[in-house]
Amino acid sequence: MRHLIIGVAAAATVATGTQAQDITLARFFGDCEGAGTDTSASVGEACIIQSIINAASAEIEGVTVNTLPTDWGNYYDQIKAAYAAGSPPHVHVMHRHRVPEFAALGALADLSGDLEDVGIDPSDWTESALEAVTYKGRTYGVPMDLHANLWHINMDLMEEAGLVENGEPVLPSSPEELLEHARMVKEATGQDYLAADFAQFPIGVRLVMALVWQQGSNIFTDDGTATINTEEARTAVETITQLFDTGYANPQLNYADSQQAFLNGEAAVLVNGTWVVDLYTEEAAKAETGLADYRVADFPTLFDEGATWADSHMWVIPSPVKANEEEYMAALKVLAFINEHNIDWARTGHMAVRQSVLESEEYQGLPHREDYTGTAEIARDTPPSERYGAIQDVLNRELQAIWLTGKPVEDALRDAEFEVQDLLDR
Amino acid sequence: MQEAVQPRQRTLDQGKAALQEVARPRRRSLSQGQAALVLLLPFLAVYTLFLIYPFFRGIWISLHDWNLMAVAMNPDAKEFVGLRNFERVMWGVNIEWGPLARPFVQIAGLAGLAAALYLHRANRVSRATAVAVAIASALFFFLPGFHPGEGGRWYDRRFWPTVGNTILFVALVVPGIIITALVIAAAISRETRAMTVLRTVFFLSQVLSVTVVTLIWQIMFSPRQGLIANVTQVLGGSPINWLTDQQFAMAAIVIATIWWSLGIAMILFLAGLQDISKDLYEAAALDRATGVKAFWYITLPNLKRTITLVVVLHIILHFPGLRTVAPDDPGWTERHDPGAGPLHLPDGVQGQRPRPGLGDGGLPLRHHGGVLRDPVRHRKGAGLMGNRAYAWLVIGLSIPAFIWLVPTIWMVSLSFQPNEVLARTTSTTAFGLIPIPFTLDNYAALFAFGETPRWFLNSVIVAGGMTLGVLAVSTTAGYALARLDFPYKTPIVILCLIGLMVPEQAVFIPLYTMFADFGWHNSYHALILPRMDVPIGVFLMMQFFRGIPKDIEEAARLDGVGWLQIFWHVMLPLARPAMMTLAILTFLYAWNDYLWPLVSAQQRDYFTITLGLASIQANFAQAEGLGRVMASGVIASLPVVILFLIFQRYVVRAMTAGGSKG
Repeated sequence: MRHLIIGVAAAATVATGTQAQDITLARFFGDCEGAGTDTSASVGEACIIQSIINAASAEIEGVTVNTLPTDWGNYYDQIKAAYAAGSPPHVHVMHRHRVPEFAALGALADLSGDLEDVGIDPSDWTESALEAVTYKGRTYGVPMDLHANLWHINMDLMEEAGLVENGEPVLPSSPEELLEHARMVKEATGQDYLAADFAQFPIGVRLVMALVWQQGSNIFTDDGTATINTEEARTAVETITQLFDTGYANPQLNYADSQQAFLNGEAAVLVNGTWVVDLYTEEAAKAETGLADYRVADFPTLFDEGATWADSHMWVIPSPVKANEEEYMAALKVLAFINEHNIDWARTGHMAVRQSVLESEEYQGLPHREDYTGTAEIARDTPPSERYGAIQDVLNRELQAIWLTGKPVEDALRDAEFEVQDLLDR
Repeated sequence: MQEAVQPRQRTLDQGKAALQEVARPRRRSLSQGQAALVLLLPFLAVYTLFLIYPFFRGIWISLHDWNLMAVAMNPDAKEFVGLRNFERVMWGVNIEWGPLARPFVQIAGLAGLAAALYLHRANRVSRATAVAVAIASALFFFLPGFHPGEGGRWYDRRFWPTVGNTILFVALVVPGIIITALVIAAAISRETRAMTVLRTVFFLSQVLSVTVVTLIWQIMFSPRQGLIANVTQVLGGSPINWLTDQQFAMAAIVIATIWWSLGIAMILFLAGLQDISKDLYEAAALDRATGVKAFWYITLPNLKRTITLVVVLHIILHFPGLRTVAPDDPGWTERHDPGAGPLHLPDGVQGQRPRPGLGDGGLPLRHHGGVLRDPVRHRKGAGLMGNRAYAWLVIGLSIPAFIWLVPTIWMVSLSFQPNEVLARTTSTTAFGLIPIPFTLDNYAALFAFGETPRWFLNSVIVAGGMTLGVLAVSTTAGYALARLDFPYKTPIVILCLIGLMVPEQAVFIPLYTMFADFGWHNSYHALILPRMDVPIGVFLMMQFFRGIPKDIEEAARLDGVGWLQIFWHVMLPLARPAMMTLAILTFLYAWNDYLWPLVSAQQRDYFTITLGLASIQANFAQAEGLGRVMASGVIASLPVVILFLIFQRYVVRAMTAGGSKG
């Protein structure tokens, strides 16, 4: 009996040796079934990325890619749990802001010098993209995009309110103007001026942060001092809350609801990321959608300098994978394939990371691309921190407490500063 | 209890008959102690490995600064910090004693002290209790002035408000359930077909899994797509943001919870009602005390014990809301604050999802003990009531019953409607309760999506495996503890009792790391094994075996039959009904289990259906595929609902076990 078992086991080992290298891949962006392998036809983040992955699985010789299920809400917890269990995937996506946290733990494979072997040319990446994947001088990933908060605009509502000049939307240049525009939209159309997810994901946080940066301030300094309980932060918060107080915006919409409100023609402006440009373009083309004339704009400057929240998606290989040369090489090939398809990913609305793609005609011909050319220049984020995620959670909770439960701004900012400082000190 | 005697006599006879067959002289059989050891071994092994060891490992982890991911990368990346984590949870980092909080706490302390003194004087409590209360009160009094914590801080803004929210939640849910359940139970406490149907309707929601309940209510409460919003709009009101509005968030969670977990309370009350002598009502009727009067003066006082039981039970059941560490709790891998991650209502608002507040509803049998007896036998027919009054009662009850069913009907109906229509409106025909326009596409898509059948099979394997495991462990240990004499019996029973009180969450992370060390995750045994340590199963079986008359064993022993033979040939066949009950409940629980599979099964291949469908829900924007999501909810619920409908009486029996005995 024992011989039989050993025999079977040996046979199985031999069999797997000749089989394709199985690569597990974890990502967010949502599911897309039936994405196929045509990377140039898919629409929306989920389907575009899945079609690239499917194509990688089909086209890279000797490699099959298996996408692991994860969901948006707790992606990082799931990924960290997988690391904690000693079974991280071979390849996974992450944000630039998480690099310090993961790299400091030694969780990420150092890819420096290996990228060229599979045909990735890091010198083709934009400066900000290279910076995104670099930690203490080493390269830990392959960047996929630069994404940022944009203003998505319903031109029909703007027109009705008299906020269109020469075919261009007129955007506010001060908090007072913001309120004035909001009033004009409400009076002319009865609809809200601005919608955003203020009740779920930290999109409201990103909005407030942009307004803080625009005043030359920040929520914490490079040397780790929280600076949230400041005049600038208060001004930023009140710039937003004045819209809630006057009924020109509704703080209670979550991500899906705010998007639905915009698509139904119930809001003139939606603050959301680059990732939905192609989706809204497609929706606006449909007759039954309440949004007909769709436009995009850079986040307007309400204070002294331009700034909008930005981040990058990137692909990494966990350090334990490096122990197995075959798996590591296969994983690198998947990264190279994704890097090759940067133009397809940019179709979502994200900004490409490769110079060669940015300069291509195909890229420049993508819908609405000319509307937000200024965004790359005003792209900002907080200083790097290993506690980025936890800090965002604190800010999101305190800001939501302000506009959802009426917590005094002073109290919320003080509490947030206290907790963020505690996180930074740990 | 007259009718209970006959079955008992019958089992006695059966047992004796079975014995005759095995009663052959043996060369040597195991001593009582040895037999007990053999029978207890599986239980002790499972219990030690998956409950006791993880529990202590959890305490060990809690004394460290232990980042799970860092430790996985480098085993030395942990630092012993003593009680610092506990310190952080208790007085946190945030704020000093407010000017009001301090005197308030001190007054509470003084009041406690006075109460202890008074109660002791009045001989209402024992000296030990009085001393304990006095010490606790004194601590309360001195604590605020004693040590304000590092940097003058005492109070964690996250921990204590969640405790407050949880207390409020329980304070609303428990009376809500008690009152609703009592009223319904009193109204349907008759054994007629119509009443059985009504009982089923009110109980049905109890068997749904947390993912399905969350799914239904999240959408019910949606201000854009929700049924409640749709009805409000037709009535001319403006929709309420149930889940994001401070005033309504708690109400929303309370409503959903009452809807979900009314069933147990209702059944317990039915059992209690059945024990009230009919004569009392007849006597009262002579005095013209019927209806409300009879309810007030006869029913309520006689239900005192049951009410107490239900209150305690539900407080235990719903406090897990406090303990439900959602794995998406920010940073659960980052730090180890024991008990952190409770009901996540930031200052009263549930921003993201209603899940945490719903408690785990968990193993319904987890909180029941007591002797098994025959299912509820209600007073037959219309009883004291006239036929016409009875008819009106049934009609009157149909309305709340229908309302009770509405969320479920809505889910089923939406699952048969096209997604494009639902993206625009959810109330096409009769508020969306009737699936016109009709389509089967959602179901077709679900099964075309390759993985659903596999998940279904996984659930069958996991739930089936867990059921068999629990049965094996519980019957052997239950018998040994109930019927055999051996050293250290009492400590083992006590140990088992303590196990009942260890919340799942306390051993969750240690179990996770333990299985990671073994490399066991993503396998069937990883999904089954840790759930076999249910001490309640042992208790259930123990109680059952205790109820079997001693004569059977004595007769067998005289004939020289070994203990193991008695167990196998006599006790097990007798225990069949109890085992059936345990099996059904375990299966229901296993099928709906969510938390452990969520972290243990990371690969789609090992998803159970509850988990797989939750992943579909999470990854499809509701606006795009509401019909699909609802279809997934229906598919996930179908097996448990069918199982419940077929084996209703076993479930009901388990619920009533011990109910009326108090």
